[in-house]
Amino acid sequence: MFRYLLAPAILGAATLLAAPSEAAVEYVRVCSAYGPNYYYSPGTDTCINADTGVTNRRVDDGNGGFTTVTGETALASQVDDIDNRVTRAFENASISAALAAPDLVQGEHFGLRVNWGNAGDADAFGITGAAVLSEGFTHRGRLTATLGIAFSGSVVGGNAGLQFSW
Amino acid sequence: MLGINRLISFAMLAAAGGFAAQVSAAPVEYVKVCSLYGAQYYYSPGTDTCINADTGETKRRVDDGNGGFTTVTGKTALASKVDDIDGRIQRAFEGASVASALTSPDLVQGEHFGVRVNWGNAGQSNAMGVTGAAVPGEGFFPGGKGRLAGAAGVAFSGKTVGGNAGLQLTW
Repeated sequence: MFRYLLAPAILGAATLLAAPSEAAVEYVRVCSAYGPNYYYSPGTDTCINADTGVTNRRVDDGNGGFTTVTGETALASQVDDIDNRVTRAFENASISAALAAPDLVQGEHFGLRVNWGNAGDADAFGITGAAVLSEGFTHRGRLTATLGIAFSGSVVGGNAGLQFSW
Repeated sequence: MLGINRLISFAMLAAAGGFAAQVSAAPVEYVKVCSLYGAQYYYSPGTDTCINADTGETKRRVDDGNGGFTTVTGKTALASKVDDIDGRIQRAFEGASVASALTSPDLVQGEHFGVRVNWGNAGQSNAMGVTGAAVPGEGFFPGGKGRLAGAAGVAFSGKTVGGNAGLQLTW
């Protein structure tokens, strides 16, 4: 009688053991909680949108319900970061075009200049100044300094120069 | 002893039954491989669009209206964004070279007009620009000082056009 009962138990145990070895091949699971395009990032509870890289994850909201935490894959974040940096590169190029210094002629000692600059996708406004610091050098030497600042979008840029002429 | 074994058997049966019930209640769906376009493709879940896991290229079979099928090729939103950025980086180089081709003419005492042509380069891009300057007024400060000068320029590089303009007061 004892063996009789033990036999089904052993069979059952064997079945349970067999199951994991058959499931050694794992598949990527579809995530249907957020509409089409989502799959579970393997080994996690994060759903990734195959098209956009947006991620959604259900987390306990602490009140017995769930809330969705939305984010992006590391790759998509990197793309967004690059996107922003390209925009800033345009702004910086336009800043360069808005940093022309005033140019002083004989007898002048001070200058102020306002500039607009554009380089493709961005506009910049800048203000620059120049001053003759000294012209008391032997052999007509003259020392001039220039300084400028320009703004475009969220970017600020500047330049400065010191020139000796004779 | 006999009772315990019986209980174990029942527990195992119940566990097996419970496992089966769970599976049938919530069928797990898996991402399907798309083998229509060679290696690398899978079906974007819940759609008929195949995505290349390597490149982000997408392919979709649509009815061509004549009883056959045609393939619509595209890119994932993420891959399109990368392509867009690629193009914008090219233009950013052009923009930097445009900025370096916008130097204004430099007028000395007694001069009132100037025209200047510039070449500018920034990394991969070259730009050509033309700039001009003029003195619209001078001598309006006491002692004959004070000079107002204006300058403007335009430069081209590839598909990018840029410009600058400035107004200066010196004394």
